[in-house]
Amino acid sequence: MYSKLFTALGCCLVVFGLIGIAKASMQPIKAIIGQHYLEVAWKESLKANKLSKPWRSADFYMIGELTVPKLKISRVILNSASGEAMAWGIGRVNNAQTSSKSNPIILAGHRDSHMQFMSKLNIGDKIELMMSDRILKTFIISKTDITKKPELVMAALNSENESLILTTCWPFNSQKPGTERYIVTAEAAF
Amino acid sequence: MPLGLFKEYIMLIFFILLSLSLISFGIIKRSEFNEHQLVSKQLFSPLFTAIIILKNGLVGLTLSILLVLSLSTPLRAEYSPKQPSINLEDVESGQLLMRSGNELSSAILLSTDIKIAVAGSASRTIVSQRFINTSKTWAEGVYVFPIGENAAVDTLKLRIGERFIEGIIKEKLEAKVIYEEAKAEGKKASLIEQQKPNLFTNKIANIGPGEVVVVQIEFQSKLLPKDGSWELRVPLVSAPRFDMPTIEEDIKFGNTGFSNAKINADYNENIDIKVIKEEELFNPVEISIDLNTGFELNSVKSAFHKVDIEKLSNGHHKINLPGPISSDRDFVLRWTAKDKDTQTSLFKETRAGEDHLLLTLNPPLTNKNKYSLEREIIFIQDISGSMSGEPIKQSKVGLEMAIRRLKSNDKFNIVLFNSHYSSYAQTPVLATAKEKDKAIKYVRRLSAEKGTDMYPALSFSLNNFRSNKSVLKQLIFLTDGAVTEESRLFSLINNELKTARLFTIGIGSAPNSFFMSRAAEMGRGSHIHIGDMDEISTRMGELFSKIENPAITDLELKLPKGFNAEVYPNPLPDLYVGDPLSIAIKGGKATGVAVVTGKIGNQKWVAKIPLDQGAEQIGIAKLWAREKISNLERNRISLNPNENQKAHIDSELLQTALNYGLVSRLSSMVAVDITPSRPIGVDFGTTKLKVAIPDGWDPKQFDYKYKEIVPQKLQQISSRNDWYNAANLMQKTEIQSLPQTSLNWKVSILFSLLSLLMGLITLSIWGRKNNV
Repeated sequence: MYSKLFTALGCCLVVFGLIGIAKASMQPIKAIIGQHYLEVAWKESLKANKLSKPWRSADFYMIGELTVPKLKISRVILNSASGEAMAWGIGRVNNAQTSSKSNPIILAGHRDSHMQFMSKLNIGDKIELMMSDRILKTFIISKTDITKKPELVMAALNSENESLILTTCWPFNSQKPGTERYIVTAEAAF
Repeated sequence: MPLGLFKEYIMLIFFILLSLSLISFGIIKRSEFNEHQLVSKQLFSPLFTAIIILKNGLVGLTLSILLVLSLSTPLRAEYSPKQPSINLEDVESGQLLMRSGNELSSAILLSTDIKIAVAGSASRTIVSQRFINTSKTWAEGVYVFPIGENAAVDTLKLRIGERFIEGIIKEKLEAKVIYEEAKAEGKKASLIEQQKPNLFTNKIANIGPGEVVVVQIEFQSKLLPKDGSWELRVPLVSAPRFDMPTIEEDIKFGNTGFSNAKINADYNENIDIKVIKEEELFNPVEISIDLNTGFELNSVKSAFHKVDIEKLSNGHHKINLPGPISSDRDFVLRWTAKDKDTQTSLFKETRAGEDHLLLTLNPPLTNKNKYSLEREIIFIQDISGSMSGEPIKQSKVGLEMAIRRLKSNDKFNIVLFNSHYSSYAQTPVLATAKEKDKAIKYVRRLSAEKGTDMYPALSFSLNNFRSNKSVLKQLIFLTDGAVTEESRLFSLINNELKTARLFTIGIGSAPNSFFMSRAAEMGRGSHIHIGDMDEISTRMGELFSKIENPAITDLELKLPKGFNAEVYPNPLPDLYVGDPLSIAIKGGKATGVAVVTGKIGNQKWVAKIPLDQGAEQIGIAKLWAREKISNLERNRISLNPNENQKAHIDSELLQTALNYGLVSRLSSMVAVDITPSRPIGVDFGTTKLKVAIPDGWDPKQFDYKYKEIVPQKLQQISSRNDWYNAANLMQKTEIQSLPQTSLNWKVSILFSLLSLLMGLITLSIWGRKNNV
């Protein structure tokens, strides 16, 4: 009598489960495969010497590449820190409009995909950055902070040198979305 | 290629496939089973069903557990959370404010240079600061600066624009009148006042727009070794003080100590300044130290900053910072003597025909005399919100250690406070093994939250002792908060402490170390300050082991006949292992032999000091005067004198301060330029005089080229309005919001998987019945 109902319920649960697994799996798959694809596209765009999208339907551009020599990690930087962009790569937090030399470059990425390596960064580590101007700059990590609110207080006069800020969610191994952020500041080395 | 991520992902997929295959295997096997055993089907059916459910359930459960484990542990274990180097929200520092009319604006501190010369057990500090008026009008600058609480401020040198002025010591009110008059007349002037014994303000009148001000302050302080290690501390952080809820007698006077309406009014005015915090990042500090100890050193180390150390000779070092530092934490330098038995020292300075002596008694570093004294001990622990994180974690470890160390005939209690207070037991309890275990469990449960209110907790604790006189009574007070109602707490301690000893532990860069060390001095105990969070439990352990056995009690100093002298501190406190005592003495001609007596356990102890053998050293007289002033201040609070006596103490204090040229509660330092500098309706044109630096002034600090020290952006602007805007713009902090950066895909997969498993289990049960 009830067996049909329960069979239906069971089927529903199985279907939900499968869809859920597939959907959730998409995120790391996107991160892994997307990074490869972006890598290739970025190299091509450097050759072509023009700002380009990784694929036609994308609503973001590739604007640079970040390399951590110590961890042998490189990430393509996208011009947007929207959820869609950050599913594929790391994004530049939108301060590009007000950008001047004294403004730091702020990059954000997910703690459980692209920015997982941030837990292994220490003060003094080198980070290499190439933006679309094709100049390879080296930054050295000068400090690490944890903020309670998802905000970054910047003082304009503070940085005479160019600086690079990487940010991701804190704590690293938590599975809940939170307001805390881990912030790594790196100063340009000459 | 994110290898870690990839591994985790493969592992997850593996588990999913494994679980799916196992479950389907279970279902298939069951149906096969059913077909082959048709006969016994009826009989065994319920049993088989149960077995299969159990089996599938177990498989599912095991898989879920495996999954959870795989999510939470692997690969991440290697990450140990780092201490953030500094939290952006917590930055605080000394501040400069420009005031013109009712308009307040902040000024830019261009540089701070600190030079310290250590000679023997005294240090002389020269702080030079340059700042620039960033307001568009003529303004008054107020700079609030914290310094060590036993420091004697005695020199003020000032350069404003092209003028040089030097401060002289005056009675507080007189100084204020001189300053206010000069200010009204448009003259350059400066006034240093003591707001609290460890907090001074420097006001500078009539600074022109864009004008650079150089202020140089000098002060003398005393250095004492602890556990054979010397420490020099340069306070760079001025913490926001925690203001208590107002109580009746304080309404009229604000919240500072020293119930004098005028001072309080001044202080409140300055409290407003603290609201402005913007220039905290524009405060680069340079520090150089000339360390001439007179004895050979074992090691020299800076606690929090990188330093370059140059050895000039044995016992003479030069210490420099490689570059400017931000004033976000105190600078601390520690050194130890090679010969650990550098025991007693005597320094001398003759001033106005009188000998000033500084005698330092260093008890042995190890206590050879183990006397088991019975103790009653109360721990007062701060559990306010600011303690959360490492401080509370470490103090819990420290407390636990302290409880474990207690002997079975000791009595103890634990008092906790935040906005309210509570205690472990109503009255102190015997430290039996069972009670200790219970107390440790109690301590382990502690968590830190809410605000701070010390008074009720301290009041309760002071009246909590139950033993008779012969028992050693000790209070251990641990906090990280800054206090403002010092005088109330002082009189509480003085009135209620009786024979007990008070030990204070300050944590982090914020605590009011004046209050903490003075309270400990008053309570005849000792004070430790712990700046590094990782050191809390270790340093607490050191303190606890030290105070188990006082090295020397009942100290007394007998001076030779015919040598009448003033001696401070008075009375002398107990001596603890590794914790030296300095005694400041002033009298006519110091000759003969002084005798210090005391008790080690129940044994008598005597030391003979030949007074004429003191080494000459500049600055000892000022230290003596500072010691006397501290003592008078202490008496004024603790002896609870009537109005007449108060006036008497005050006049003695003022006389001492004026004689020795020190800034105190009753004396200020004022500097006035003779010629008016503010053009009243007259433009002086562009004629510029060549700047000549007065003799004895440090050209490195006072001789500057405007173009070299003022940032380019500020120089280029001609109109004052633009200038003002530019300065404001430069100081504007920008707040950038950061995006959400967590996918949490592992949790999603886990939940989906659970749903899948539940679905399959449901199907396997009900689907089977269907077949039947």
